[in-house]
Amino acid sequence: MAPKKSSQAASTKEKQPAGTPSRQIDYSMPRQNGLFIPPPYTYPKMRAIIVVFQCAPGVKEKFLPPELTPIEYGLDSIFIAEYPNSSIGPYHENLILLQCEYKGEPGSFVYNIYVDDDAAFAAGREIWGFPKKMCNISLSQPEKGMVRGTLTRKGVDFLDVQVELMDKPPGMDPKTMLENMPIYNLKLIPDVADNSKPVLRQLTVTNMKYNNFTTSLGAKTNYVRSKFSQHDTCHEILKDAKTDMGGIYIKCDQILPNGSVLE
Amino acid sequence: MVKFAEIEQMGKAWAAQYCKALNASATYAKVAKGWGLTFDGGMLFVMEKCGEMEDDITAFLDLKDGKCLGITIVAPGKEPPRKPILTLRAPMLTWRRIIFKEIDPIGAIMQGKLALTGEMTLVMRYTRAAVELVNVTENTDRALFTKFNLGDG
Repeated sequence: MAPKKSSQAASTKEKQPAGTPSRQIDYSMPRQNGLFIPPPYTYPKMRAIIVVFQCAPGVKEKFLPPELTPIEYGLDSIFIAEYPNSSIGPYHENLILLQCEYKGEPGSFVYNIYVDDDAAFAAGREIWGFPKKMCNISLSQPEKGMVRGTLTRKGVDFLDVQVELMDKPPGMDPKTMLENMPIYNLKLIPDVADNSKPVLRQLTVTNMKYNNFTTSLGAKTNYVRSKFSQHDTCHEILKDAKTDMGGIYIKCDQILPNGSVLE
Repeated sequence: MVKFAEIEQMGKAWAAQYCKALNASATYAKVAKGWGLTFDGGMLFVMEKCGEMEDDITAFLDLKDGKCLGITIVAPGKEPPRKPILTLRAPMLTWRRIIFKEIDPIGAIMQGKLALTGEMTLVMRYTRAAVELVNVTENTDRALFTKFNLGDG
């Protein structure tokens, strides 16, 4: 069997354009030409707005898994990014992060995450347990000092954010801020035979890395508008949240490494 | 122009009031519980000169487990009693706006008006305590922040 596997790998590699990482047989589905490659994933020259908000007291505990404790009045955040060229191709992404603690260790639980690329969608869910959904996402270029991000899914424009860029960096180092925020995910894989419980349930943690900042600006939040959608629950988090807390606008390189299983 | 020597006593009086007000705050005691138990909880507030002020005013807050053990006003050019775990730095005018709730402290940091350096994970864990540090100033005589012309920023 080994020679056959080797031949398949060679065949797969031949079809890929120069510079594309080799596909690994039996890493991701479909087995001969998996949808995604193993991490780490790099995101050179990404840009993003990160808007800070605070959930209304008592809201977060309804949405966090029981292993995580909400940090009330914390730094919850909306992250909207454009990745012009990543290890799995170009795409856009939005995360809604809820600040919380795991055994006293502060971090951010990924409450919702949206992407507009199938490899990013599948890899995120299957490797780290990012609860990704597909969505139309836009992130405008700065225009008259404003940057706007929007999300539309199943015909509903359910999130619209605009920030006004300051002419100076934020008051805390974005690299330090971002890298000191471990990302918690609850990875759930349903069982093929038993619907009563998942076949896999893991609380995972991932530590992102950020380098080579070319832009780092403070920002004032002009608005965060959310809309009810039967398909998404962002509005439940944002409708009573304090959203006028500002944010940051960055251009840098991002690295998404393997994470680890907490329990 | 107003020199540090002219406002030092006023600064010390405010610091004593502020420390007392922190110790009287049940909310601060609750949300800052654990602060400084496994690390040195000293914080530095640097109020930079602006307007007619000629010198910075620097306050070293000795904080532990929801209590204030003392606040030292540090003279220009002098070192604080210990290395602070967190330093917040802004022009005096920005401090006035924060204390009078014209701007949110987190918003001020995000917009680059208030600079924060030090142990960032503590900021995430104790964000509520930071807000209470501001709220408690309502129970002090805030003339230190209003008496002088601080310019218009």
